[in-house]
Amino acid sequence: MGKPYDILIIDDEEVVVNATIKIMSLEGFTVDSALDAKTGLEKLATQQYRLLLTDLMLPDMSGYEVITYMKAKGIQIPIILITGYATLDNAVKAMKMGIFDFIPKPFEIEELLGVTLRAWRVQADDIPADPPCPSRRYLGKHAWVDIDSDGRAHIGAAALFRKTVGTINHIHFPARGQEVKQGGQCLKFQTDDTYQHTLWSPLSGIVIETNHTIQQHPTRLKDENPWLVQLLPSNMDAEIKHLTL
Amino acid sequence: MLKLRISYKIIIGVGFITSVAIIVFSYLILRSQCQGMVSQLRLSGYQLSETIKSSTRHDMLTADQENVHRTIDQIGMQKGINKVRIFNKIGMIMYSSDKDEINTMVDKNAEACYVCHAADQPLEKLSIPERTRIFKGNDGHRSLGIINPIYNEPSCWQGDCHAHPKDQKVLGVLDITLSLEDTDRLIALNRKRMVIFGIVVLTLVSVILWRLVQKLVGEPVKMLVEATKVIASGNLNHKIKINSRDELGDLAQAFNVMTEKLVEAQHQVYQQDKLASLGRLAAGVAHEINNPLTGILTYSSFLLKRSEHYPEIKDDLDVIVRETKRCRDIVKGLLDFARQVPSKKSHLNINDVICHSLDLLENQLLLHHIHVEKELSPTVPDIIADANQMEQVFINLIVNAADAIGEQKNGVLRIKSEAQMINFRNYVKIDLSDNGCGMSEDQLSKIFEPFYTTKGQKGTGLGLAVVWGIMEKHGGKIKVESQPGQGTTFTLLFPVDGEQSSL
Ligand SMILES: Nc1ncnc2c1ncn2[C@@H]1O[C@H](COP(=O)(O)OP(=O)(O)O)[C@@H](O)[C@H]1O
Ligand SMILES: [Mg+2]
Repeated sequence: MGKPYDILIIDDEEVVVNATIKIMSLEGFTVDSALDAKTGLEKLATQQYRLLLTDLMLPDMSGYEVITYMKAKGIQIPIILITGYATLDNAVKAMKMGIFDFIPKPFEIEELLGVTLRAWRVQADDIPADPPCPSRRYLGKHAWVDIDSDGRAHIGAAALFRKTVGTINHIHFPARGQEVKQGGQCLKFQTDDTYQHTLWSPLSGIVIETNHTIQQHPTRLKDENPWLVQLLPSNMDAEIKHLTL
Repeated sequence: MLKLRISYKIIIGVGFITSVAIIVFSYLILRSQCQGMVSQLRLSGYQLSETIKSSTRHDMLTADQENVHRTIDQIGMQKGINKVRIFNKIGMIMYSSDKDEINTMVDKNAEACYVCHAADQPLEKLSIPERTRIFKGNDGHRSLGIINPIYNEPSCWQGDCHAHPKDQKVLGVLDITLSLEDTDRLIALNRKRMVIFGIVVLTLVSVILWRLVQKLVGEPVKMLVEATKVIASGNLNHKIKINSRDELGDLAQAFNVMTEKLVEAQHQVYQQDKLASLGRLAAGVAHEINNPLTGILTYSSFLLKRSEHYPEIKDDLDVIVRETKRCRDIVKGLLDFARQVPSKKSHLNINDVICHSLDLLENQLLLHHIHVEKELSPTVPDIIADANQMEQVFINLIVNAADAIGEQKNGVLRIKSEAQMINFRNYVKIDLSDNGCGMSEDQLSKIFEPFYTTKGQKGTGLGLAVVWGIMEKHGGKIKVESQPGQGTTFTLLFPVDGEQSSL
């Protein structure tokens, strides 16, 4: 046996696997692959990886089952779920199960490397958890939402996201009046390594306001924990179940 | 199989009852009429016999037999009188209008005698009905016979002519026979009339009943049955014309309401079905397309990265990457559409929605120094709409107005709501005016197109497209008026109570 691989990817599409291997090589990551869940789980049991990328829809098993298996086996490496846009709610459920993040297909090089690097940094740094707050709900360890008494929702990035994202050059905010979906893109971050990071919205709703201060000074995000987008939630009662305290 | 229609059943039933009633009724009338006529005749016959008795009394006492004969003859000749005769105690006919009979004996068992002589001892006193008898004469017609006993009286036994013994109670009997021919003819005529009347009434009642049942029950029921068949055959737009205000009218009304509801339900199921299958299709297609798209996108991006020094391929690769991203956005748009949550409509007061939207945007309006003028009519009726989508509409319009006003210092946003009647339908009308930059004719024609924006990076060009879509879904209407440099007015019209818009 040679040097262990950094990353395992489980996907039944060879073109996706090959593209991933190629993309990862740009940052020097070594990638092992499995075309079905059974082979993937065997590899996970016998070898050490530092990161897992898995498709949600595998021929013999769902991505959920892979996640459950890993939890049961006590394998604590970060998981990035590869999903389609069709399965936003599945992605949200997986976030609740404790995966690091998800990435919808088809992805760009900058997006995949962005999320991979964030996951990679989890093991390097010791990330303090967010302090608990009664009015605050979390989408995994990714984003938070604060719900006002008058029904307004403020959205921000969770500590894990803020600490791993790197140096932000630019934040792309949604337009006021625009509709965002739970698990859909809320904000897009551009970091100085040219990679892209997406903050998924914890709730569906209409954008009322964006934080202009952060828009002008994106680097403040790292140490402060400001709200980024103000939302008028459209389906809060149903969606809040997918969030955690 | 014999299937009796309701109308026939009713007619047969009512006809039976009516005919029984008519028969019983006419029988009773005829009988009492008949009895009345006969007793009338009896009475007049008795009176006649009393008259004869008293008019012949004098002649009897004076034994003027000629006169008695003449009187009896004359009376006997009158119409309706068959015979007048007097016979004595032993049954010898003394006088008669029938000359041949005189001096012959009557049989004591004959009808005239039988009444008294049936018992061993002849009766001497008789009541009027007992004195009369009805029998069939030789001519075939019925006759009424009246006997009137001639009693002994002092002048008879005291007379010097002929001695009737003093102890004899009855001297003889006056017997009159009246013809019942006329009476019988009258009765027969009456009976015939009754029968004709009965038949006429029965036919009339049946015909009227038939028409009535036909009109009130038959036709509406037939319409209902036909409507059911039409609807069963799949034509749900069929409506029953209602022209009665009775229970069947109510039934028809209920039927129409039911079909309406059926159409709605069918439409909903159809829509949901369509959306659901579209969603499944889109998800399936997206899943399949996303994998090759990932390949194309990553490999072309790769080539792009490695072609920094080859500008002639770089431009071409740029096109590939850009177009692949476009494909991705199309798939994403399709999925977003397929995922659309059905609107949750409820009764809303539009003023509340406007106020809530303004509250939410208060900070921005303050920041832009925009003065808000509200002219909300407190009497606007509720509309049926999705609260969230309504807020989305107003937020988009207000944000656009704020953008149009921009850094201008005297920005004013006027929002007016009022109830309006157009073509006899109720609408809620909302005017949203700003004194911002305004738009040219050319611009106006494009603003509702998706991705049309004049705000560059800051805009998405989706705001008004979304507003348009929401208004369509609510059966509403949106209009814009604008003058470059003057300002813009958006006018929204919502139908009240889910009435279908006819605009
Ligand atoms: N109240 C207004 N006054 C002037 N122009 C307007 C107004 N509302 C909309 N527009 C024009 O219509 C365009 C499309 O608007 P919209 O669909 O909301 O997209 P966006 O606001 O993202 O540009 C705007 O870019 C602007 O040019
Ligand atoms: Mg807009």
